[in-house]
Amino acid sequence: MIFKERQSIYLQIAERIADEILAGTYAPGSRVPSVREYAVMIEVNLNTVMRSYDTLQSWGILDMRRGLGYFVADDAVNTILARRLEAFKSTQAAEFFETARTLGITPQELSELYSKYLMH
Amino acid sequence: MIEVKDFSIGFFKRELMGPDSEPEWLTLKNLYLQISPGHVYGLIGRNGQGKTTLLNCITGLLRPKKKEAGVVYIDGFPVNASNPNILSKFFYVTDTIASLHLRSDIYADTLSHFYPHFNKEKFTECMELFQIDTKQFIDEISLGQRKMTFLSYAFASGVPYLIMDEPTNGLDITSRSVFRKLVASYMDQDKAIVISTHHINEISTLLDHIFILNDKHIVFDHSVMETGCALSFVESDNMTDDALYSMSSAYGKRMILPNTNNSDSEIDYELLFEAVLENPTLINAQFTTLN
Repeated sequence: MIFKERQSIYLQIAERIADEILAGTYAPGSRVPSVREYAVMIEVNLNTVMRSYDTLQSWGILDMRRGLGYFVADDAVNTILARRLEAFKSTQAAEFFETARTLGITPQELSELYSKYLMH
Repeated sequence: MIEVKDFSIGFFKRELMGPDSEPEWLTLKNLYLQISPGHVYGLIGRNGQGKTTLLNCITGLLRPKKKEAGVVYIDGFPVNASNPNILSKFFYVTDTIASLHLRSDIYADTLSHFYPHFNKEKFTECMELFQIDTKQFIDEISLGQRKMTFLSYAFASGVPYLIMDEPTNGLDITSRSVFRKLVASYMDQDKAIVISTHHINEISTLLDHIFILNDKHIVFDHSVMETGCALSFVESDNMTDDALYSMSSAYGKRMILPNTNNSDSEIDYELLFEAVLENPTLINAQFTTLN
């Protein structure tokens, strides 16, 4: 049986901000929009965005500076990539391997497919 | 805070039953709810379940005749008193909008006398976002534009309690987006917003608390955060025994499960609504184990 589940809105927003940091929209050390600015931009409840910022802070991706707002942590890019790698291994790769197993793809065939993919 | 305590209201059918008759049917029965600043509340329910009646009661437009039927308090004062201090604490955007033969900017000046924090610049800014000319007469613009005009008054009012009945009715797609931005920017720690709707998906991201009204009662009264902790919303190709509720989808089944593994899933409001209408006791029981 396969279960699909969409992440809670506050986590979707946290991942979206992480994507924006990876894309260079917000550089390490720079200030990100205030909770209110971000809430209005994406039309979401203020408390929900607050929770996203709190979560990003607990992950070490944002730093809160009292009275100044939230800033991208210096090491944010590495932190995000490490988290994404962990998520890939535990979730996406597991699903992918499960499909490979049902289709009877051998590890060698899989390796060849990946090598071929990287050539493009 | 707005407090509704053990509140009931119904309608007499005097012409049939005589002046001393008991209410033939009740619209709301023994209702309790609280509205606190710092939150956006969604009031959902099927048509004819009493959403508008409840909002009319909260704002004092409708009052039970007997004292035993309960009282609505706004910041500790009974709303029944109809005193100007209480009335200036809330702005109510009704579903049907008054058709006044007045220019909307002139009516804004009138309203500013009743609402001490009314901000005329904010009104003009909202009207610009909705692209409505404030020099037009309110009864000479379309129904949707009239709705947007009153929403602009609401967002300019500066009141601690903003109450809106079906605010997105008659708004086009662009205006709905403007509406959501205005709600998000109005919100702060000193303000509460109540939105009644049957188009929950249009405004779901704005909410942090959900009330579901059905069969005269509030059958669901939980924050979005609590709901995410208590319930899991999944889609699967197969049915599972521990599903609290399920609905067929293109992929297989949309299901609500007890959240036993600390998952953090997005709330499927349509599914939640149907589940609560079908078996409110079962759904609410999932919340009692929360700390």
